[in-house]
Amino acid sequence: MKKGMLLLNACGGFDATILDVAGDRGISWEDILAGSCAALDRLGMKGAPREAFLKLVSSGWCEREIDRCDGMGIGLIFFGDPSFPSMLGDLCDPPLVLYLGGKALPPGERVAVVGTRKCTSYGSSCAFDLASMLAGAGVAVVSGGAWGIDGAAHRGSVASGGRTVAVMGTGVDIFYPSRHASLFREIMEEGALLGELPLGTPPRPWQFPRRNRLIAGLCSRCVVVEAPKRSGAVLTARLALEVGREVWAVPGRITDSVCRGSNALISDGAMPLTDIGEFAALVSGRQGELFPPIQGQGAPANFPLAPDETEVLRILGEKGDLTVDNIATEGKMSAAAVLRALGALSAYGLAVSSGPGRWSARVRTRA
Amino acid sequence: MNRVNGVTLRGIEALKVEVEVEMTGGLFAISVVGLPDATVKEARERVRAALRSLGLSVKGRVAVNLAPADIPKEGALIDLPIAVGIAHAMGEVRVTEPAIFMGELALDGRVRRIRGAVPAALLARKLGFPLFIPEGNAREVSLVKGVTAWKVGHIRQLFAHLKGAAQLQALEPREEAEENPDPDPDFSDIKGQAAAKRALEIAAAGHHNVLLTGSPGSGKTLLARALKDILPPLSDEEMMEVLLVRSTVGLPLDSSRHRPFRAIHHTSSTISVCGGGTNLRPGEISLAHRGVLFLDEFTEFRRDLLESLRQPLEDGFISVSRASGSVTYPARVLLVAACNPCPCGFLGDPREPCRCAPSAVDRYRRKMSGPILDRIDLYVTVPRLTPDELVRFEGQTGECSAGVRERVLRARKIQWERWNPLGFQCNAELPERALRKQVKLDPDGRRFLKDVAGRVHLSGRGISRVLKVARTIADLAGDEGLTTVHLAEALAFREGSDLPWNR
Amino acid sequence: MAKHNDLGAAGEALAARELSRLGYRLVDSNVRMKMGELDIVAEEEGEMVVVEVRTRTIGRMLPPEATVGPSKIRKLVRTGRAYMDRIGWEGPWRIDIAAITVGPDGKPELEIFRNITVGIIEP
Repeated sequence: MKKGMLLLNACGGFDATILDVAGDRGISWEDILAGSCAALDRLGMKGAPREAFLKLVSSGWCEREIDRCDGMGIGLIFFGDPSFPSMLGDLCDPPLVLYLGGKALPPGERVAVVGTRKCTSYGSSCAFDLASMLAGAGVAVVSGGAWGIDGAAHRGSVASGGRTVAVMGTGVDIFYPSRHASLFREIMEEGALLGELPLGTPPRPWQFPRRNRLIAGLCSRCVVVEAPKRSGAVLTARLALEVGREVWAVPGRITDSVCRGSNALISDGAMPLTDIGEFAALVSGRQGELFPPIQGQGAPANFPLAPDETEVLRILGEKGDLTVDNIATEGKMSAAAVLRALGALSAYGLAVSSGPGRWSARVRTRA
Repeated sequence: MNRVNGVTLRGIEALKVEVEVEMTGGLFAISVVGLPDATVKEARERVRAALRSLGLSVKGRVAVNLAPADIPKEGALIDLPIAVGIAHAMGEVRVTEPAIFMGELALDGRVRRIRGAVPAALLARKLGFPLFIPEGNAREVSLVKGVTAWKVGHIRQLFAHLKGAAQLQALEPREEAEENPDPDPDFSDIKGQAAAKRALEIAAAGHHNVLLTGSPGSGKTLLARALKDILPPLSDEEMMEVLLVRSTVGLPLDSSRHRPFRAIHHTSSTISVCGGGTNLRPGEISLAHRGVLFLDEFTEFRRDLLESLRQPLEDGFISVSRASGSVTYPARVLLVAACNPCPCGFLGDPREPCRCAPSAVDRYRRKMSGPILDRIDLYVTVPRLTPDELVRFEGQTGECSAGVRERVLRARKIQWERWNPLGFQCNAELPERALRKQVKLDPDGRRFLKDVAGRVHLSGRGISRVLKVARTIADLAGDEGLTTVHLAEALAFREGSDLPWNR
Repeated sequence: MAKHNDLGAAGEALAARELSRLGYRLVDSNVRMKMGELDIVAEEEGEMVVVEVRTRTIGRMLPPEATVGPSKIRKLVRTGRAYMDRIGWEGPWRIDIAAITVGPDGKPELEIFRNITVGIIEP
C-alpha cells in the first residue's frame, strides 16, 4: 500500500483523500499497483496523471526511489504512520507522503516564520532575532528555506542552537536556492528538510503555493514578518487561518510596499507582533528572563559598553537609518568617535548597517 | 664622427639616435634607414620643405642613417636632427661638439613641440651633451636640473646659432613653487559625509586603498576627487617622476605639486590602462603614478582588465614585454574603487525601493572579489542624503582640505620615521610578517580583537587590514600604542562592513 | 599629325627661351638615347636638370603635366641616368616638367614643375 501511496504522490494531483476514495470504493492496492484499468477507472484517474502513473509503474520507479532514499538517509513518512505529524490532518488535502532529510521533525511547539524574498534589513534582522529567541525558548521554527525572511529565520534558529524545519518546494535532495546549501546542511543537523515532492524535482513556480499549505499545517502559530500585497507569505497566512492557526504579523512602515501585505493582515485581524520577548514567552509558556541571550549579540563580558557606545545605541534606539553625521550632531560627538562606537557596536551585533551609510539598532532582547 | 644626435622613446626612456648623412650625386632622393616608422619616413618631406624655407635646396641622393640600426625609431621628433645632419653634410652649418636635437618641423621651418622632452633631457644630462628643444617644451625641461638646454623657435635661429652668427636663448632652470595648489573639490565643498571623509583622511595618511559603496547620486566621485588634495604635495623626486610620465605622453604640464587623479572607465582597453601598444606608451595607471586611480562602477570591469592591474598594484610598476626587450613604467597609485550596493543601485536606500531580485543582488555581490578587493583596506558606505538632511548642512562650513592635510602630513611623518629604517614608507605597505612583529597590541586590545574577529568572521587578511588601519588611526591621533579605541574605529571600516544586511 | 608636331616644336622652343630666362643654362636638346628621348637637358645651380616639355591646347581633357604618367616617369629616370653616365656627370640631377598651355586666343602659357620625382620614386 505504501508503494501505491508513493506512486500516487509522485504523479501529482493526489493527496491523502485518495485513500478514502480507494477504501470506500473497495479498490485493492494490488490492482492499483498492477495498473489494472478497471481499478484506475474506479479511482477516477484519468488523463495525464494516469499516463504518468502507468509509466512509473512499468519503469519500476518505486523501488528505485525507495533505494535512493535509503542511500541518502532520507526518511519516508506516510500518511497514517505514527510519526506522521497529526497537525497536518487539519488540512483538507494532507500529503500522502513526506520526505524527511535530517534528524527528525521536532516535536512540541512549532511556529512558522515567513515573509518576502526581497526583505529590508529591518525585516531580516527581525526574523533572525525572533527565530533566535524562539530557539532559546525551545520552540521550533518552520519556514520555506527561501531567500530573505525565510533564510534569516532559519539562520536565527540555527545560530541559537535551535531546531528548524525547512519545507521545500522541490525534492528534498535539491538545494534551492543553491546559496542556501550550507544553511540546509546546518538545518539538517538538529532539524529537518521536509517535502512532499519526489527526489530530484526541480523548482517550479506552481510547487511553492502547495508547499505553503504544509508550512501552515505544521505550526500552531504563523508569523508574517514582512510581505507585500501579493506574496506567498500572505497566502501561507490565509491558509493558516483556514486551518485555525493563530496568525501574527510584524508591523512595518505604512509607506513601504514591502510590508503592505503583512500590515493588511493586521487590519484583517492578525495579531501585531510588537515585542519578540513577549511573543516567545507566550508561545513557550516560559518567562522571558529565563531565555539565554540571542547568540552573538551583546558586548563580551570583559568589555562593558563604553559611554560613547551606550550613547550612540540610545540615539539609534530612538530612530534608525541614521548617517554618521546625524548621530554626530545628535550626540555632539566627533565623527571619529561615532565611527569608533559603531565599529564596536556592529561587531557586538547591537547595531547594523541598514543601508549604505546608514545605521540602526538591532532588535533588543528583553532586559 | 657623430655629433648630430636625436632621440627615440622607448617607454619612458629616451635612447640616443646618431644621425649620419651622406650626400652623393644622382637623381634627387632622400632615403632614411634604421628602422624608421611611418612618421620618421615622412620627415623627408618636412625636412626638405623646412630647408627650402631657408633657401637651401637639397640636391642629389641623400642617405640618412639612424643608428643603432636595430632599435625602432619613432616619431616626428627626429625631424630636427635630420635637418641639422643634412645641413651639416651640405656644409651649411658646423656642429662642433656632440649634441642632442629634437623637434618636429613645420613646412615653413618652425619647430613644433614634441612629446618626450623630459626623458630626452635626462639622457642629455647623463651623456653630458647640450640639448636643443622646441620652445614649446621649454617649460617642462626647465624643471630638470643639470642640463644645458637651448630653446629653438625656428630652424633659422638654430642654424644661425650653429654657424656662430647668433645665440639661441638658453633655458633657465627653475623651481616649481612650493605653495599648495587650490584643492578642487575642497572637503568643505562636500556636504555631510563625515564617515567617508574620515575614511579618506585615514586612506591619505596611511596610503590605504578605499572602496566606496553607495547609491547613484551619493557623491562617490566627488569624494574620490577630494582625496588627491588631502594627500601631501609631491616631493621633488616624485614630481620628476610624474613629469617624466606626462612628458612622455605629451601632456602639458600643470601645477606640478598636485597629485595626479585619473579615472578609468570600465570599457577602457587594457592597453590604454596599463600601457603598451605599438609605440609602447604609458597607460592611465602610469599617469596616475604618485596620485589617485579611480575605478568607478568597478563591478562592471572586465576580469582581464582587473587581473592586469594586480601586478602594478602590488609592485608599484608595470612591465610590458616586447621581442626587443621589456619596458617598465612606474605605477604606484592610491586606489579608490566605487560601486553600487546592487544592480539597480538602491538597495537599502531610505526613499527609493530596490528593484532587484535577491539572486541578482547575490550575483552582483559575488563579482566583488579578486585582485582589486584583495588590495582594499578601507570599506566605507556613502549614504544618499535626503533633501531634508542636505538643507540642514546649508550654511555650515565643514573643515577644509588644508586642515585635513595638516593631520595627514603629521601622520605621514610619524610613519616615515618609524618605517624608513625597514625600507617602507607607509602603514599600508607593510607585509604580513613585518606587521605581526612590529605592530603590537596591548593585552586588552588583543582580547578585544580575538573576540570580535570570531563574531564577525574576519579572515586572517581581514585582521591584518584592521591592524594596519588601526595603526594609521593611532598615528593620526599621535598615539604611540595601539588600543581598543583605535581598533574599534578600524572595525567600522572592515571588510564586509559594507553590506551586512543581505546576509 | 603634323599640327601636333608643330605645336610640339614650338613648345620646346618657347620652353628653352623661358628656362634660360629663369637661370637655367641649356646644355642639350632633343637627345635621342636607346631607351628614350630627352626634350631638354639643362643645368641650374650645380644640378643637372632633365626637362620634359608638354604642350596642350586648352579644352583638351587633361592638363599637360598630367600626361606624364608613372611609366613615362620611369622611362625618363632610366634615360636620364643613361645620359648622365654618357656625359660622365656624377653630381646631382633632377627631372622637371615644362607645361605649356595654349589658350583659345593662341597665347601660350608656361608653367615649370620642379623635381617631379620627389615623393614618387623610392630610392
